[in-house]
Amino acid sequence: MSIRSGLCEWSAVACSRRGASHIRNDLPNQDSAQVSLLDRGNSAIAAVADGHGSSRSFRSHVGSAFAVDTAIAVCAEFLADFEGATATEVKSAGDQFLFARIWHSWRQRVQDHFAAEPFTAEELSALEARDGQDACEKAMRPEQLFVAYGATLLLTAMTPQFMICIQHGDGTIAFIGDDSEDVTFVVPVAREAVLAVNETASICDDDAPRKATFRFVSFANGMPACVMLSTDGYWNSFKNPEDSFPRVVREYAALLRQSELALISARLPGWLDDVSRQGVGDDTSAAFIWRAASPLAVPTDLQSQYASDGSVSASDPPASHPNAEDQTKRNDPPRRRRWFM
Amino acid sequence: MTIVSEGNRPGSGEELGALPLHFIWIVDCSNSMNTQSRIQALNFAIEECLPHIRQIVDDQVGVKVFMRALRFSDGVKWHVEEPTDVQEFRWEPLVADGVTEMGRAFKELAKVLHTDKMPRRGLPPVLVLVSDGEPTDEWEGPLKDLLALPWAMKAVKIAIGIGNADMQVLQKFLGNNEAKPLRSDNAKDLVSKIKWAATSIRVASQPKTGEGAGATATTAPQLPPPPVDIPADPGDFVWGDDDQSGHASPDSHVF
Repeated sequence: MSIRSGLCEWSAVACSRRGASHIRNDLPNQDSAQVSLLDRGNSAIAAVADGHGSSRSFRSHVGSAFAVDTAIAVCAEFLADFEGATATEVKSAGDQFLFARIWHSWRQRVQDHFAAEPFTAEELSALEARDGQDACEKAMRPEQLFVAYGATLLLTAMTPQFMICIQHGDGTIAFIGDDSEDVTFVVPVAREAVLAVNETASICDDDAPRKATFRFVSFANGMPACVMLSTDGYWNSFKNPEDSFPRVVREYAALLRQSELALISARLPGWLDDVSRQGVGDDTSAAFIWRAASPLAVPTDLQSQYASDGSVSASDPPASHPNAEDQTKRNDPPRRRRWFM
Repeated sequence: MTIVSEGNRPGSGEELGALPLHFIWIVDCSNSMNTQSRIQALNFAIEECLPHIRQIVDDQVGVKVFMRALRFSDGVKWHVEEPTDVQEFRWEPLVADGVTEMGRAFKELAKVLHTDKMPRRGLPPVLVLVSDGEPTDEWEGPLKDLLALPWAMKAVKIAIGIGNADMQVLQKFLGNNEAKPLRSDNAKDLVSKIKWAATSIRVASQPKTGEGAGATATTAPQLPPPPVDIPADPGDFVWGDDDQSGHASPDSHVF
């Protein structure tokens, strides 16, 4: 294990737990959560996704896994291709193309998955039993394919210079500065909005790119200490989430900066289970990126990510990630231009 | 800086809880409901469905159903005003008398479904309207105002017409042409339809879905297909057989 000090070193951890309600009803965890460290911890990406889990979205556990995996892979390519670019270039390209590219890649993965594994008789008869024959017939139409895999998607990438966030659907991305107690939400919760908690935009929507929120934050005037991504099972479990959740974010931020990664890794599954059991019983996922108080506390040559059952796995950066590519390719203008095609 | 113990879950001092789901019966208690034991059949049907509802709620971790009931005839009155945990909810039989002031019921509903009166976070409410007649007061304006409310738009709405009820009014209450009001013409069938109405709790608490391709904008969850009509047992009343005009009998005061 090597430790090195650099411009900035991020730590990241993700955890996704099956909700108490799904355990009771023998349903899979329909959330997914994943993190990735790039460039020896100088950059980090986190993604969480919440599969819809309705009778029509009977493969949403697959859809959410595809969503986080695709989001991280595409975002990693984006960061590599725009390394050294100006803030304006990154912001413009990210806003216009990043989510759209993720969305297209996700749709391709869904189509490939369906081609290899068409809907089974069991899946369709379960849908018919629940929603009737019309719903079953509708699910078979090609244009309805993506509904079966529908999910939300939240993504954050941190580099030494900036943060980019994408939010599509419900859930929260919240960040907090070093010396500030103020918690900022990427998509503020509108106090006057009526919260029927089972409604959301979806990556399966035909017009999904129009509904995604993109945020670019330059670190010219300081950088966040911690960012927390979570699916709505977490927020919804509080009786007064507008008051409670910022305090939760602050407490996590304080804890992460004081503690070792191994400790957080060990405790996080139990904490999420506790929230689900005492709250709304939904699948509950959280991902964090933070700057350690001291660089010595941060292992930099490991990527750590949670599988959906909450176990921890650590691995070296996979060869397919762009940071494993030849450095000379990174500032190649054609690589940036392809994003605008 | 917040001091946090490594043993405690972050946010352990914050209150957690299940999601509330508000279920409201809106019941016609006009004099015609005394005809052919209609009100007795309705009381029985609602009582019968309560254990069924409690079982559904037990199966749904993280959801708490609060039930209340609004009656309308001459004016409107809460039969059960306080939203009551369905596990503790008890049905006292309704008594019928008077005309059919459904418009006033819509006005009263609009008061309780206003954003200020509903919880900040919650599942879509379930509204079940049962009537055997047609409104005797101005109802279109109050209904329009009701359906303009965000919580009413998102609500799961069910309408059951008993006998020769005015189904057009009930259709307007549902607010969209995809859902249809149910008609019930005997006690046995009413029990079946009321039980089906109760299972709308599952729909209201169902997770979200994306709209996918070609979907029209709907804001309320979609219900599964209703049960088939059940014929009356021999000797039982068939509601609507006594009417000669095709409409429910005019309500009148009992002197």
